Amino acid sequence: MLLLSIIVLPLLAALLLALLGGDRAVARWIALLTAVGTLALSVGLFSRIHSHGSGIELVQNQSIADSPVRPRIEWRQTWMTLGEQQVSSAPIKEVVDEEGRIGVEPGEAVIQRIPIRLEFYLGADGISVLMLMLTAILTVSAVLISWEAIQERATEFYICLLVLEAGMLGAFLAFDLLLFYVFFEFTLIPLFFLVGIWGSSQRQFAAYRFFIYTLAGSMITLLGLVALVMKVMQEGLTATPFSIPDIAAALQQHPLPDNWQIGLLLALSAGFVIKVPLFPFHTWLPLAHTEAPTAGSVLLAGVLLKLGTYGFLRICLPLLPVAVAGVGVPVFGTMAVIGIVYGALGALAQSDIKKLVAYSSVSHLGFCVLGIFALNSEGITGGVMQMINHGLSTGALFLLVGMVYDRYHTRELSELGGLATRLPLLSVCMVFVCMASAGLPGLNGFVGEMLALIGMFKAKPLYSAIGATGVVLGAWYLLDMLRRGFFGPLKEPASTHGPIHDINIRELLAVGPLMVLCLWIGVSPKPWLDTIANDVRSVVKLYPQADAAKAEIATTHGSSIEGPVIVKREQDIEVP
Amino acid sequence: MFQHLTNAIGLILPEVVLLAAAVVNFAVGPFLVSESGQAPNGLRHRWGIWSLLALGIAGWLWLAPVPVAEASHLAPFQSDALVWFVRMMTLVTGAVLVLVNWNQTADRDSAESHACLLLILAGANLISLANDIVVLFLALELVSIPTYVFLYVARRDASGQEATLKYFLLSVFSSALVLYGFSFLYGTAGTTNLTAIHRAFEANELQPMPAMLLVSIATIVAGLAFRVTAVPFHFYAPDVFQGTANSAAAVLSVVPKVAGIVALVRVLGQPSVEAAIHSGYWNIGDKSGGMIYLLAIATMFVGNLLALLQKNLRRLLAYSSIAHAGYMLVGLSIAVTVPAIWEDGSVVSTTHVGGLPALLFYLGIYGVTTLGVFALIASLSTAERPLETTEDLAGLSKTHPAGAFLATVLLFGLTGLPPTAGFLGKLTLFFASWNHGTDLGRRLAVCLAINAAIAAWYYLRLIGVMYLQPSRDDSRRTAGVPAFVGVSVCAVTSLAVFFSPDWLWQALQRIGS
Repeated sequence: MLLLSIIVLPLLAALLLALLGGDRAVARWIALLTAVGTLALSVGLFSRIHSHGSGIELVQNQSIADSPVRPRIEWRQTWMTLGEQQVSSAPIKEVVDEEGRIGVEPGEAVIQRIPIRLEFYLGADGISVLMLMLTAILTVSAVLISWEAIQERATEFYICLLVLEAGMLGAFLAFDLLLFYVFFEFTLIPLFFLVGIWGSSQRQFAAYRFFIYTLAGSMITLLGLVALVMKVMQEGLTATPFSIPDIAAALQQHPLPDNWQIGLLLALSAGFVIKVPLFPFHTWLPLAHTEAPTAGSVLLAGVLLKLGTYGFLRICLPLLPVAVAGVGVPVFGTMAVIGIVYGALGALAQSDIKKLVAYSSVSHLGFCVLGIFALNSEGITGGVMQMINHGLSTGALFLLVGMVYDRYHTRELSELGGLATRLPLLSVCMVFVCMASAGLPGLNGFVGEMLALIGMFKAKPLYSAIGATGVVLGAWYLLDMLRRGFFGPLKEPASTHGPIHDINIRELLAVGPLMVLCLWIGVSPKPWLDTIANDVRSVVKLYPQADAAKAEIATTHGSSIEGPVIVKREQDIEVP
Repeated sequence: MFQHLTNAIGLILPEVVLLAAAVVNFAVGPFLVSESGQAPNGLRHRWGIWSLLALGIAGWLWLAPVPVAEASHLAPFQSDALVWFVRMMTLVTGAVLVLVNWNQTADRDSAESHACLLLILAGANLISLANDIVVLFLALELVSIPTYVFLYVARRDASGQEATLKYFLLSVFSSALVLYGFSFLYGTAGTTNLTAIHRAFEANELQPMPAMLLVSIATIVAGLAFRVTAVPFHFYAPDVFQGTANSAAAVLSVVPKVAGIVALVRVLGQPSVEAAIHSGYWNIGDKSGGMIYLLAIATMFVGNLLALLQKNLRRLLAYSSIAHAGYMLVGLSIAVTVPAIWEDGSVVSTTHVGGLPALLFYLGIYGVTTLGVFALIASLSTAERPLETTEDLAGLSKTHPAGAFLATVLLFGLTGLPPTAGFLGKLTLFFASWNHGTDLGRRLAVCLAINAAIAAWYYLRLIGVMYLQPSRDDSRRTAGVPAFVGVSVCAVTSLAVFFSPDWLWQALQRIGS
């Protein structure tokens, strides 16, 4: 029920706001309290999972004991009984072999008619609980940053924000294929309004474009889901073909034919590729980011893009191992590498700070995908950490850019300069966050990027080598932005702005916690890595070849290439 | 024989109630209006309540257990789960249509207008009950003929007359086509009873005359395709929708589709897999499956692509309804075609997600959703501030926030986005097509996905106009109460069915199994 309440709380608050109507002052307080309450609930969920130790399963469900996807806490409710299925199941019976060990072997096959159910199947494992906390904390920041900025139709704004939060939380909690898709799609609706109503000048075009582009991709994903479920049902592999853990367990025993896996992977990933977005499909992103209000950009970059990588991680990797290893790595790895370099070069060319941050997202998400498709524990751990880190640092960047915009009503670097003298505190935050984003050791970006690159280096050194240039380019465009905008002689737009104050308490509350987390993860990543270690390990188990190659390379070349710090990080993950 | 006829009355009690109520309207209505055509103010409220009462009684009879009537080769009616579903659908949509029609007719015309509506609904029910092509044809006419009057009464200006005349001529033509096809069917089968005809097909008795049957099927499908507005038999719909009143457009968007689809289901039947594995089996449904497949693809693409170009609201919704007819034809095409079969005669797919349940599920969801949109237009449209073009919707989120919100729910429902029932409707169609196991099914699923993405554009544009564009006149609109109740019912139903679809889906799965 804790799981359900996490989704329902923001929805209820949104409903309350809709019914009350109310003015801005009331609406924003209700929104803030709800966002903080949701954060508290998700932290509660985290501590509940964490206090049981990462090794202990809360869910006593035999059928998924070996599944690559295992929620540690779950809540299931039948939604729709789609049809009936004839399953010839072999009941497992215990046998004792000659050495006295107890084993199992299949008994005689029995044909059963089993209802096929769509379920409201909510669950949480280490990966999803981290994403939940990220979502919840960014929503708090989003509410705080909109406190004064949103004057018009404020109640509706906070309704959209809370509904969006519920949608994102739901996507991370869903362990039913269809339910995940439902939340994945549903997030489009509130974001369409956020961008379209409260965005800047080109908002309508941006909103339509983002919506149609993403929807077109996810229709193909839906077809892929349907085909996947139908294939699994035809093979009679499992009685609950919509439950991700069950289907993953079944496919581990009886993998689908290779050509099916490849077709399904390409169909399923159509929506994810656009959402992430990977290189040729990124065109909707800079526009949507630039036109969205600050809160919208924060959540879009911080959380919504991760739905794509999360989809890869949750659906493609555990279910279609052959296709992912054979086709996924070259295809998506190449796209990710191009995206890293292209996004960084794109960011270098921008004079609009927000657009610069938007292109940097394309680059950073490339690292994330690169890590995930390394298919070894370093890579996937790095990919997940990069999801969190990019959410924190890019979220904070968008918050700070929004603060500058609130003061000067411009984001053009040509019109700004030397702001450090006028806004010292804000500039300190900016420098700090840029460092985190650029991957300075000791801050969070370093952990994720390095792990992802190391992981990929063990699998495909070339990708990793090209991708590593993205780190250099990242430092270049971020430092260049700092130099042009915040240092040097003071330059302010002539008019169109009121008196300029430095960062205030409310803004500090919005961005401060994110910075603290950046530092925390950078200095002591171990607890976070431990949280996801088990979940990553159970996925990696599906890719023994990649793992074997990794072990070989690690013993022969590992120490000569990697510095001592990196070896230590590696040990961190390998803790059982 | 005689016993079958007496039993028959027991099977159609809800329809008898509706017909009786309509007769009362025709008989009493003229006496309440003076000779010069003046009616007491507020007379329409009384007739509206009377219609709702009749629908309520019919609904109460619908709830009572129906005498079980196996389809027999003698009986004129059959009563199965399909009848249960069609009755439920006509009663719910009928109640909403009464609410939409409430303030759309003048006091002096209200008796006739409501009476026509009740007759149309009773006709739609009788189509599902028919077990005989003569009864089926009569029921189809019971839908068509009152529709002409209804269209005329609802709007009497030049464009209304043109629309009525256009609909009348084409509808009569399509009826003639259907009747012509029925005559061939009778000629080959030697009986008008549908059960007997289908049995003859299964026993492979009609094989010697495939050419006659092809002509028959072609004309029947073409005639009924007019009713469901399938391309290329759709061309009257945009003009008629645009030219007529909102209430009449609402009726046309739902009831003829129910009539056409249910009639097609009854005539074509479902293929018998047992019979199909024998070589030389000639199945009426299987042969029409190819036709319907082509119709479905053409209808989806033409409807959606032309809808992108529309500025007039009712014209846009007409094309949208054409596109949705295409989605339903996808389900029908799946339902009437023999699924993929292994060499040993067993069906490839081991799941039981059939085309027929998916089709009917979609029909029900579409009916409620699209009706809600028409009800909203009827509710908010006034003589001074009509809702005629998409531009008229601008700023609706400010001038009528509740209406804009409900419209958004309904339009996302038509798009097929969660959390509305429209999503489940599209989903079950996807499943049914893929489950079919044939290339035909997979091609249909892919076309359906492409079209769902195209359709999102014009629905989203309407929502964008309501929320993103400023209104020319910022004063608040007032909503007509009865129609607005109808909008709320539709929107709430759409959301509720998304969260709890099982009761409906389970019932539909019993049909034809």
